[in-house]
Amino acid sequence: MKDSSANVAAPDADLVSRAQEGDAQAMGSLIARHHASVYRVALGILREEEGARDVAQDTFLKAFRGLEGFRGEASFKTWVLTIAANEARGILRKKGRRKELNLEAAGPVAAPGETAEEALGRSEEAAGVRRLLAELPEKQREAVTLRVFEGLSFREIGALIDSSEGAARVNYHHGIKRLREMLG
Amino acid sequence: MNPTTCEDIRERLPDWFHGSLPAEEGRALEEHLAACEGCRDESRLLKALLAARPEVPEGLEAAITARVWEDLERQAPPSRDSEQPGRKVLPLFGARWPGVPAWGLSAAALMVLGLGTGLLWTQRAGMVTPDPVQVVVQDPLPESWLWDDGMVAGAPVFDGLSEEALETLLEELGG
Repeated sequence: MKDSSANVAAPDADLVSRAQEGDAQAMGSLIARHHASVYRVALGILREEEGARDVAQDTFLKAFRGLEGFRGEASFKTWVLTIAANEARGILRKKGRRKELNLEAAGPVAAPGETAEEALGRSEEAAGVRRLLAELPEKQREAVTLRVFEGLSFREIGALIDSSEGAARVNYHHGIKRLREMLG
Repeated sequence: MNPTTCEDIRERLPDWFHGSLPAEEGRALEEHLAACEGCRDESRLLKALLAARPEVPEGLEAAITARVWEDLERQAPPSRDSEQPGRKVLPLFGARWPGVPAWGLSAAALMVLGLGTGLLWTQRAGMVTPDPVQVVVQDPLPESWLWDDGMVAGAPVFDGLSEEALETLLEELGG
């Protein structure tokens, strides 16, 4: 159920309509398109990779089970990300604590044409940026990651983190300013 | 509207990185970046952030797809449509009962309704007179569930019918 060539350019709304009729290819395309964002949103809240994987799976199960009732008031992406965020927060509430994410656990993977040293340098730089991000207050970190990693609008971010569009914008700018200061 | 100020430009940088900025706005942003060191700095920061975006585990998409597929297959019987190559249609929503035509479901509903009405008629005509005490004793449901018209929670009651009455019902069903 990969995002087939016929579906690559199809807008989400078309894929959702087809998925509502039971079209498995359309469902596969929606999964292909949004699973990474769903996983990262869950990871950002849980800070635990295995839990984020589970949340990503449960999110799509819930989304497709409830797809009949999806009316398109928000985009499909915002909808599934909201499901993911709620699932992840529910798990956190049950656990009552946060696990520390071992950001450096996964070793660097060399990109094509890149030496092992270059890959290591890139990985260390990325790990450093993630450490800085982790130091931001929660709302600022969420606003920055949702805006930069996922390309969401401030309105979508506000809906996702249960704040106003204006508050999401302010949190984003404060977060970016703080990161700039930390980087010197 | 094309971004004009540094504030506008910086706010739209994430959209530019994600390729979601309209072409004209993208060109205006690039022109601004070429001339503005401060906005270039912010662009570099966002680029470093994007490079630090967590990797998605290998096989996650396949695992999600497999679970979704398994869940949907479990929810409903296999669809004849799903045999078609190229466009697989899951037995979901509209295709939930693909082997039964829509008129078939309506006919079945009418048959059940007719059965209940027929039973009611035979009971009221004195053909079947179940002992109310016996019905209550045999029926594990509270008495209040048994209606005067021989229906339990909207469904016809078959308990206590004589062989003759059951045969009449079977004849109505064509059995």
